[in-house]
This record gives sequence, structure tokens and C-alpha cells, in this order.
Amino acid sequence: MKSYKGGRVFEGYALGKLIVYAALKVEKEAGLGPEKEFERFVKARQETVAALDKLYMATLAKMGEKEAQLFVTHKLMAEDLDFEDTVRMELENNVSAEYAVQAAGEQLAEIFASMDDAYMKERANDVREVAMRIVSFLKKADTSLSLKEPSIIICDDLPSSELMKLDKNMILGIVFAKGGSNSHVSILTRMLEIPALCSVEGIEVTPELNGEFAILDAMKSELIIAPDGKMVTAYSKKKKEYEDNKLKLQAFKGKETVTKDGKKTMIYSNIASSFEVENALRNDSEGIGLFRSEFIYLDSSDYPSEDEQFEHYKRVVEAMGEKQTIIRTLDIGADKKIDYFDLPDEENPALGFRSIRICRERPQIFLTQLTALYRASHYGNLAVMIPMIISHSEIKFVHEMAAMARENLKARGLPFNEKMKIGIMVETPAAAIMSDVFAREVDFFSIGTNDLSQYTLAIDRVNPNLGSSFNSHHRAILRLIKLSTENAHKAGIPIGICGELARDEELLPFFLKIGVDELSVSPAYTLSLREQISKIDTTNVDVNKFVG
Amino acid sequence: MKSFTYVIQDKEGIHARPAGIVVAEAKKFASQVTIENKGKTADLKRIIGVMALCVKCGEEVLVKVNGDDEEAAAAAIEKVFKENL
Repeated sequence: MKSYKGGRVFEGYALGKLIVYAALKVEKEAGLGPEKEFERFVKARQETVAALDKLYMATLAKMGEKEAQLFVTHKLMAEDLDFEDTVRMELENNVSAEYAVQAAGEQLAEIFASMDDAYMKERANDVREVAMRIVSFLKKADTSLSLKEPSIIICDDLPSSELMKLDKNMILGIVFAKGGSNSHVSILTRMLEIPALCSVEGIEVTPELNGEFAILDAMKSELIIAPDGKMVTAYSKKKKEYEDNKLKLQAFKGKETVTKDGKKTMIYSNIASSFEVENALRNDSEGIGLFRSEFIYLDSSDYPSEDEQFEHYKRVVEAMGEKQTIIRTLDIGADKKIDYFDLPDEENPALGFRSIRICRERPQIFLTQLTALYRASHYGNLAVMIPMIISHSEIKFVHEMAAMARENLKARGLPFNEKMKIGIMVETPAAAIMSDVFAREVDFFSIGTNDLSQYTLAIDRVNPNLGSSFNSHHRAILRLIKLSTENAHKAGIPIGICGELARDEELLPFFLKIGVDELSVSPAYTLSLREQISKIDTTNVDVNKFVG
Repeated sequence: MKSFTYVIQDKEGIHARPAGIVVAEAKKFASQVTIENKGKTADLKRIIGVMALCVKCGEEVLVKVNGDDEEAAAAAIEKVFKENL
């Protein structure tokens, strides 16, 4: 028995035989002569181009223009005349088209691999992938993975087209030994809900692994090869329980979130990038309660433009349709550093120059984001949430900037929702204490329990020496949550909770009793939370037990 | 012959995505189109060659268009450079 640790792509368990996917490799072989082989190449190239066109359309529909454009580039590479010339030259040696295409791909890939530029080095893989795609058409279907029985695929990495060709029912799980969790193929794997791991440490993918029995534990992110009988029995049981539970939860799909005594609430999702929307919808989330916009800034090497941001926001908002999407504006600081922001080091980043405070000093960044958000508001049910609010003057600033964004779009004649809701995070004691005043100035509240806890208790959440003193059930925190909720409702605005605490089993009855309108959690917890709520009878809940 | 120069604004230089866009545009025309940078020349209809120039942000490229539809081609290609690079 051997076990390996990796990263998670999608949760679940798999038990079964491994099947190795190894990238194609063609041995040098004689062909039917340069002319005949060139004809074969041309035909395979046509088929490749047609396949890439399809892949472009499919990706465009699922992921948007930016991701899809990669396949246009691949198509141009397949049709490239330098590539064709190189293939022709190789064919002069009377080799097969397969070998010539592989060799030509390798030669051109070398040009990129030898560059200093890290980005360009990566492009060597694009050229190789295109060449191997043509080779696979030359060889017809016999080279690609074929699953005769349900198996766990193990590979260094897998071209997405390969995955799309397979029958999902035959795939128990996938191990991308060298792949990343955000690669194109990983994203597709999540959409298909296949238990999978990536970046597995210390494993070598060799043909010897074919047929080995393995356990894929994508809950603990572990791969166990050749487990003993006891382990197999234990894991079969775990897998069954997990799947039974999942199946049972399916009964809560499409249902309202309601307590035993008929009190309604909503379960929203916390997401950090636009592709996670799929995840939220698949889990039957009722909205997006927290979309962290930081990733757009983190993925960029300079301030993202209005157009770029707009595309991201629009994609999320459109995908969610009627359901509400709450996007949180920029929330960075010295602990979540982005180079081009050029933020000074601080002794106390949690109490320092961060989120709305940066936006006030650098209004142009904030205005660009708000303008992009307003533009996206035209395409669905969008609301905007401002983090780290402590004062009336900050809220005033937000409204002024929002008015400027609206003016700007009016002047440019672009459509937007004039009434887009603007809310604030209640994550500082100041905001909670002032919530009676703030509730009259904004459209909704959302409680960020992680920060509210650490600021209320003056305890650094990540300080290992303080772990035992950190009690997120502290009555001080619960009193602030209760106060904010009462003040929100007095002013007639909704309030949500978007921190870790939102799915805390012990506190759930308290949140429901005081009338929190929405709980926002990771998409995967949606259905189990809905089930839990259905069992709670709030008429029996004594609020004083929590805050008294 | 028509020609224009352009200074690359895109932070990543001529990377795969915009390279694909300009090459696709060039291929729409019958004229011969070349791109020059740092003393090297590539055919703007051949993506691998264009990417292999490894043009960085802030560098200038010279695009030459030669053929019957050079007028329209130069205008269209220049527009695509401005929009994507």
C-alpha cells in the first residue's frame, strides 16, 4: 500500500482500477511516401480544425470569449504554413505522417521552449498539443483513452478534448498528477462532478499503474494505491454513506428554504471567481451572497480595465438570471497584497490601509469598479456590497461615487439599472453599533462574521497562540449580530450572513429566530444546510440562551 | 505597398490570444503581410512565426502590406492592433 497527497479538484470518493493516460508518442516508422503521407496530413488537419471549431463554440458558450480564444490560436497553429513546411521537410525522409507531425511539433515547440520569457515557454505546450491532436486524427480513435470498465484515470495532465470524448459513467475519478486545480480540464471535471485530485506529490505516472486497484479520497485529498482489504471495506462504507447522503439531499433541490414552523430564509453562495457560478447553480443556491471581486485584481498585472471587469461581472450576473448576485467591491490590504497597488508594509494590516480606505484615497480605482458594476447591472439582478465600513462619511463617499458612475454611463448612452442596490458589510463593531443609522442609508446589510469576530474580540484569527481564546460564539458577537438584524428590519432592509458562522449548527436556530434573511455559504453546503433548517422549529428557540 | 508602425501597449506583449486575433485578420486578405521587430521579420499570416518574434510591451513593430487589397488590409490590421494590443 502506498498513499499520496494532492490538491482537490472535486470532492467525493472513488474505488476502482487505475487506467493510465499517457500522452501519445509515435515511434519512427516508414510511410507510404511523401506525397501520400502529405495528403493524409492535410486530411487530418482538416478534421483537427473542424474539431477545434466545435471546441471553440462549446467553450464560448460555457466560459466566454477569453477562454475560447485559445482554440482560435490553436486552429491558426494547425493551419500555420511554417508548421506545414516543417511537416513537408520531415516527410522527405519517407516517414509516416504521424511521425512527421510529431517531429514538426517538437521542432517548433523548441523555438518557444528556448525563450527566456516564462509565458512564451509555456506556449511550447500549445504547439505540442496541436501537433498531437493532428496525430490522434491520423491514428484514428485507437490512441485515445478507451474505458472498458468504470475506472480511475491517472495521468500527468489530460487535454480537455480527451475528457469531453469519454463516457462520464465510465469515469470513477481522475488524478491529474501534474495538473493544476484551475486548468481548463479541472474546471470541466468539476462541471461533470467527477471526484478528482491534482498536483499529487511524489507519484510517477507509468504504464505499470494500469490495472492497479486504488482508492481516491477527494475529501482528504489522498490517493491510496494497492490498499489492504480492511481499508477497501472501510472506504466502500464511507463512499456509500457519502453517496446516500448526497442522494437524500437531492430531495431538497428546487425546494424553498424553510424551517419546521414555516419560517422562510434564503441560502446564497460565497464564490471567488466567475467559473464557480456553475457550482452555485448546480447546488441549487438561491443567489450569490458574496462574490469576492479580488480575483480579477489578483489575476491581473495592472489595474483591470472597466471593460475587463464588466465582462467578468456580466458573466456571473447573466448566469444567475433572476437570482440575486451580490458582488463585494475591492477588499485588499497589506495581507492580501497586489504588486501594482504598491501598498506599504504595515505592522497591523488588519487595522490598516485596506478595502474602502484604499478606495477613498484612490477614488479612480473605485469609480472604475463601480462603473463596470453598473454596466453589468443591466444584465440581471445585481447588488453591490462595500466592505469594512465604519462611518457615515464612507457611505456618503460611496453614494457620491455611485452617482458619478451613473452620470458617466448616461453620458456614454450605456444601459444600466438606476436602482441597483448598494449595501454594506457589517464586519466592524463600529458598523454594528451604528447599524440603526446606517440602515437608513443603504439598501441591505451583510454580516461578515470572520472579521466581526476578530475585531470584536481583538483576537487575531490566524495567531496560533490565540486559537483557544477565539470563541466565535462569544455573546458579544451574537449581541452585535442581533442588534444589526433588529436595526435592519426596523429600517425595512434585509440582512444576510456571509461568514463561516452562517452554517454553524449550534447558532443556526439563533440566526433563524432573530430573522436573518439570507445565509451565504460555500456552494457545496447549500443542500445540507437546507436540510438542517427544515428540522429546526424556531418557536422553541430561546434567544436569551445565546445573548443573555 | 502600405505600412504602419505600432508600439505594443499590452502588458504581456504579443501573446497567444491577440496574436491569434491579428493573424486571423491578416488571413482575410490576399495581400502579403509582414511584421518586423528587433531586426527580425515574420509573415503576419503565420502565427508561430509571429509569436516567435516574442514582441514585448513597449516595443515597436513595423507592419508592411503588399498586394491588390493592401489599402483595406492595412487599415483593418492597424485597427485590430489598436484594439487588441
